Amino acid sequence: MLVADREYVAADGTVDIDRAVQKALARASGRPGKHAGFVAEPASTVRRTWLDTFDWRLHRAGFVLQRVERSRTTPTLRLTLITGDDVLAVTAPAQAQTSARVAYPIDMMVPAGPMRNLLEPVVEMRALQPVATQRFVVRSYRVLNDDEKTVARVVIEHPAGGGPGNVSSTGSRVSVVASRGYAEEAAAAARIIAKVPGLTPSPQSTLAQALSATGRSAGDYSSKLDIALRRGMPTEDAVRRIMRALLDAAQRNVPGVVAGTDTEFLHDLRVAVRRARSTLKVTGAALPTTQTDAASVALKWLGDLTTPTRDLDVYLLGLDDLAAEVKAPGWSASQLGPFRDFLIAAQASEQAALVRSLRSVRAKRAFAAWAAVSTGGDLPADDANAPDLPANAPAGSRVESVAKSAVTRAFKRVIKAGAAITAASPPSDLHDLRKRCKELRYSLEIFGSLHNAIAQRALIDDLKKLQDCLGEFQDTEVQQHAIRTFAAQMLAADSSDAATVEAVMAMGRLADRLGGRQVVARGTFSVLFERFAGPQPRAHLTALYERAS
Amino acid sequence: MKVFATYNIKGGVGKTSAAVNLAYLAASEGQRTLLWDLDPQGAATFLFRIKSGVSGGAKALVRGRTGMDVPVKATDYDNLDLLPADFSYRNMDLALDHGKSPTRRITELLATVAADYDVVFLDCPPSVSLVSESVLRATDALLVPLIPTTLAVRTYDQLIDFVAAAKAPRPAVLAFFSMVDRRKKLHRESMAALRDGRPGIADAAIPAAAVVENMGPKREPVVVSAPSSEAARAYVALWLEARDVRRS
Repeated sequence: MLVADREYVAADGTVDIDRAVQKALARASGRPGKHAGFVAEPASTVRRTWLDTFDWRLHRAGFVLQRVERSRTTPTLRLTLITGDDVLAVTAPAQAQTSARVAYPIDMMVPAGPMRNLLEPVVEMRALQPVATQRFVVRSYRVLNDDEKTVARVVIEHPAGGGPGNVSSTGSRVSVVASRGYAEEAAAAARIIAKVPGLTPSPQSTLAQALSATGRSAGDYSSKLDIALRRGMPTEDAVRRIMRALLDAAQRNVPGVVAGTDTEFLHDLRVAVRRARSTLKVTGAALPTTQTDAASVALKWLGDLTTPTRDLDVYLLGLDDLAAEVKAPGWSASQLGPFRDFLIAAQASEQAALVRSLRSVRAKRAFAAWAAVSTGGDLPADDANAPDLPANAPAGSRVESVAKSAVTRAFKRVIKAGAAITAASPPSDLHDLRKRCKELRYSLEIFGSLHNAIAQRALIDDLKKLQDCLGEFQDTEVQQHAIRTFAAQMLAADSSDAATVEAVMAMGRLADRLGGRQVVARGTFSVLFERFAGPQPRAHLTALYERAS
Repeated sequence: MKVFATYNIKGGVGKTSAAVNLAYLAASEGQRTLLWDLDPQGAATFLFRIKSGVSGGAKALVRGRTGMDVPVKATDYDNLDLLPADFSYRNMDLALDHGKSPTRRITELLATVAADYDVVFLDCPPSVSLVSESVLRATDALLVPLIPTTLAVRTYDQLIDFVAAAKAPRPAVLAFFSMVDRRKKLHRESMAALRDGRPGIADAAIPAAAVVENMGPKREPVVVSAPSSEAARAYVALWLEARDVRRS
């Protein structure tokens, strides 16, 4: 295991780093307290491709994952995690037939073993995709003790570009990498390198350097909303800013949805659409109705468009866990094979339809309507002919008052809808309450930057517990119905197949399990709602608009 | 974390060569690997160009005064670390005997580094002792090199009895032929005699070869210095069999 130490860069591009480093190492060789010698390893060309999920999960968890390609050798994956003074470094061969240019699910990219075990809980369902790539000419020197044991490596990496041999020391980096257990010897080598004329400690990591060439920075996308609003801002400006941020989030996810890279692109696209619908619903009066009406219709269409594929994604993502919950004599999850195949085929068909729709003229017009409401700019052709009605919002309305009334109203609607639910209420009443909760959640999130951060976090925590319970109740309800529908379709398509019949019987067990979970969720609901209607969430609501001390 | 031990009651049968080469192969698959050189002679330590010696010696290590991770050194190979030998390991029996439940102690010590490594190799000294008993308890797969001579049958049967008599949990045993010269009739016959009716003997056999003897002067695993040699290929084949062996 190797421990990365400090990195240095050339202060100006004219320094011949290789010569200077060699000279310094040679001068110190054999001297008391210094190394016994050093060995230059043959220069090689390395292509480093940094990998992460679209939403930078590895970066946020402190991991750096690189695919390292050298000519005539199997590409390797190198994962490092630096926490304080501790460095964890794991290497593994990249899975065969993978390319550095393509995104892959983790099991296709990382072989089973310790690296995958470390990454899986962080990456979850997301694909690993290249975020930056750079080719380097590498020269390294193994620093040896008197047993000719490597105690450290001095590694010089020159960014290569414009063809073989085209190397400049601009952007070159020198690092001293200590071998574990040889900190003293490595520190001695690092002191030698630190004194090489023309080198200065590097201000940024290699990844940051490679990313800056692409105009990106690590962590530049998150599914969490972070819209900077300020008190006193005219509501219209604030709403347009929110709609613009959501449009940006949606558009950034569309290529991943179309390519089918992973299921989270569609999830994030749907969330952006739903948040935008909520924004218009709670603040729409601040904007011309011609724009909001067109955008509302467009957003509803976009939302509905994505539902069938997302539903199938959810069934597939949860199938293994659900199957693992079933405890019955003779039960084997393998009986579900034909059901899984059915879901995969159905998902592929819905995904193809979704892609066609997203590429359609109607989708272009829907995004244009969304853009119009975001910028106040031109409407798509048909809507532009409609008369531009004056805004209903009172002149000079400020965003914090609109936010406060929207959040308070949404909160009251949750309490009212929840209080009306009794043991005899039909599932649709809980479904309606879930919608009210979503409206409150989105109102809290879109106006988040105006709120007292502690109260905001606390109120969302209170709400989230209730939402999770209602989500479980409704998802289990919907999935039970879906399983019955799927079973009927499977039998109608291939009723003579024994495996299909067995799968349908196994699906019955899944439906039973879902039914059991639904009963638990229904039982938990009243406790959670009572808590949410209690004094603490109300206090958090009041504290939202108190300024942080 | 999976623990392998190379062990035989006899010395000079290829334990260290196997430990060094198999540990390298595990590490090259991306498994974080630790080789603990328990033999006071420190041959594995020497082969990786690392100086023997653990601060405080066997006593401090066994009593937990020196953390297991402290003396660990990186080898020159990715993912492969070594816990060096110390001459005081010759008295490890005494150190173990002074503590509570001596036969569980190596298991307890390895548990302290379980988060850091996926695979551990224990290169054991040639003896039957408290150390061997403690090793048996800590080990998932005991790898036993056998030189194919008439005595090999006797050695193997003794070892199986020793493992069977040890306290549970007991390791799975995978024996393999070492220093094999297929030109010798005696070797061929001994191998056939031992394989007859005895499960748990690897198909892979390590040949007697100059490249293996040259590990000493070269101070690197055969699979690195002569990767296409017959010996290197035999270690690869042995690793492919050994890595999936499970404690029953």
